[in-house]
Amino acid sequence: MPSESPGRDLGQEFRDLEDLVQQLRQSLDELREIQDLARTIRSSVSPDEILEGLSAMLRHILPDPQLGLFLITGEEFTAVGDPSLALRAALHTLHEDGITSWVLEERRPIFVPRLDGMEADQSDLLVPLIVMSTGIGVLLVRSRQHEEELTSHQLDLLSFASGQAALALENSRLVSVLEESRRQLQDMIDNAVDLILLVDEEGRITYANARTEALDEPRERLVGRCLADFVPDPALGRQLTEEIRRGARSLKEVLLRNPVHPPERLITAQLSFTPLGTNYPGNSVCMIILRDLSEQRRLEEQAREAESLKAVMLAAVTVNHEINNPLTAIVGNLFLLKRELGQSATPEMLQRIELAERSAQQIQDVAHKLEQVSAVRRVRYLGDTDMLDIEPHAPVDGDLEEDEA
Amino acid sequence: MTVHATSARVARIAQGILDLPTLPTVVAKIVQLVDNPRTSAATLAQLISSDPALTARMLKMANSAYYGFPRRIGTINLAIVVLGFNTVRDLAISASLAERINIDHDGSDPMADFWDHSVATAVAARMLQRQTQNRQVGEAFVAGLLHDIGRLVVARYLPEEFHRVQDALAQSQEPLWSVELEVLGMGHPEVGSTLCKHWNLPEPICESIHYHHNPLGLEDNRTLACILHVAEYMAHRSGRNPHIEGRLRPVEAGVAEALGLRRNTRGEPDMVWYLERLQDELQRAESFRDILLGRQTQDREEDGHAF
Repeated sequence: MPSESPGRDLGQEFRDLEDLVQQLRQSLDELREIQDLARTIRSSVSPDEILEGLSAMLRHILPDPQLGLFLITGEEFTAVGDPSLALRAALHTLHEDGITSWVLEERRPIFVPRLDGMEADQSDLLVPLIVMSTGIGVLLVRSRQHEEELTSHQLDLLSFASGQAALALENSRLVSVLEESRRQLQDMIDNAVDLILLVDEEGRITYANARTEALDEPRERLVGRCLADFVPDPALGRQLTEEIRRGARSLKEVLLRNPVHPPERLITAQLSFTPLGTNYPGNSVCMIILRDLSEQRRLEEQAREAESLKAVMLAAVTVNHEINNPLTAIVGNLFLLKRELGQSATPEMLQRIELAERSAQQIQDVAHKLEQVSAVRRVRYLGDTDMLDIEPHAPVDGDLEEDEA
Repeated sequence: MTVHATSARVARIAQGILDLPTLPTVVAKIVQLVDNPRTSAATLAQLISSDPALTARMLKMANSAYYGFPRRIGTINLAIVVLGFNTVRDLAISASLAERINIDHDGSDPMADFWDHSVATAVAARMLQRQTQNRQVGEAFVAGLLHDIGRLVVARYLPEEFHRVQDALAQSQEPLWSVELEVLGMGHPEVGSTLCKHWNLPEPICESIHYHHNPLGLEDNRTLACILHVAEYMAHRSGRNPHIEGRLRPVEAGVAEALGLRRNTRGEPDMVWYLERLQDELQRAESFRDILLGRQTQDREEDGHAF
């Protein structure tokens, strides 16, 4: 670079410096305004607001700008807002010519060669929208900027503006994706098999999904009540609240009932406690998944009973086989003995034979009743010992015979 | 070597650099204009057009497959608004340098592969700067092109020193810059950086050239130097120069981290991925390099894109 001449006019140098200061002031003001607008754009999540903010920003960079914001969707571009037909057509041509792909690869704004139908003093700038190394769309700006008067400062500002818009658009897209995920998650929670509750530190319910059948209460009436209210045993209720405060994962099986319903309506429930992090709505500290095990327990009991009945039936068959044969011999021989004795039998002898016959008959009846047993019922025998109730009963709801029928 | 002897050598080399011809006036002015963000495309185009030979060469390069603009760039003004101010400055520097510093490509010249390596480094640097989302794409290219200009200066203008370095290099497994420091008291990065300052090139370019073998030695603004460091490594790897490969050291972890280079499954910088992409870029840059070096070329004229 040629060195400064020593005789250079100091006045001129002063004027140059003043110009420079003036230019810097102007740039600073311009940057401040643009940064304010950038902040507005960044905080927007609606594409229309972003477009509006971007328009305001571009008015500081280019004369009389009209803009078209186009986002990549698959192989095509989709307009944000409602750009003019002329801009849509221009983008189509640029896309067909491969210029949009080129700009997205170059990652900087360019003036595009003039297109047919443009006014003499109009020109188009194509600006890529890049987020995290990925092109998400382009901004096409038609303005009255003469291409020969374009400066790299303007191009830098355009890059800055498009960068802000790209980030805001990406945020807006992410917000939509998040909202959709939240909706899907909510749907999954609402339609879960189990009742899902969120509770605060006092065990007060802050949220309930739609599966409230177990507690027999609509969800809006569950919120605000304490879980302990549903535990008939107050000591166990306090223990559950402690469990929530303890903030550890755990699993418990408890009997619950809705206090407003009759006391016999007890349910067996499995409660799984999962502590939550901070900042959950309603100061929730724990998620409780309540699974109603009543039906499961009833079926288990039924299965156990069927198993016992099987054993009884097995015993009955054995008894029939092992007892009935000798019993038939006893009964037959008693009959023959009575006939052979005939008139010679004393009344005592006949009394003894009849007693033996009645006892044999009793044994036959027991064996027969044992065959007819349809449910395992116990009766107290001696002390703590139970024995099988073999007396016939009228069938009741839930008896195995009925289920099997 | 005594301290006195070293400083005398360094002073002699520095003086030698200052005695070198400056950039052509038009190129120096282009650099100056591009450095001012308020320069209009028209002002820059007017200056470039005042040198018809430079204009023709620049347009030829602008239309090469390397830049790959889908339409013909027929005027410098269009080149500026399409390729950007920085790229146009790069084109001007590239066109003027290659023309002024000729190299014999018959194999007898030890610097025969100089421009090939420089162009490969420039292409890798521009690619890396785009990959790492850095805005100074233009500066990366020109810095890559000039990163080893110090080697050329020593070879052309300080022949005695050049031969001493070559002899010492043959006896050593150390990298070139380390041997130069030992023999000359000054490495080619410093020589190149001094020359670039003498040419009034922008400070980031001069500084990145100075630190391209030791980018983490820079306190601030390390990105460009880091890019040069990795770009040169990639250019060497793609060039398959047996003399260099033995001395080639892997990219420093700190440099890869500073640039946020993508990593492979082992957590190392994924140089295979970058080198594959560089091969594509180098293929596209072939015609650009040939125009730059004045070799016979197949450019767009054969594809029906006549100027």
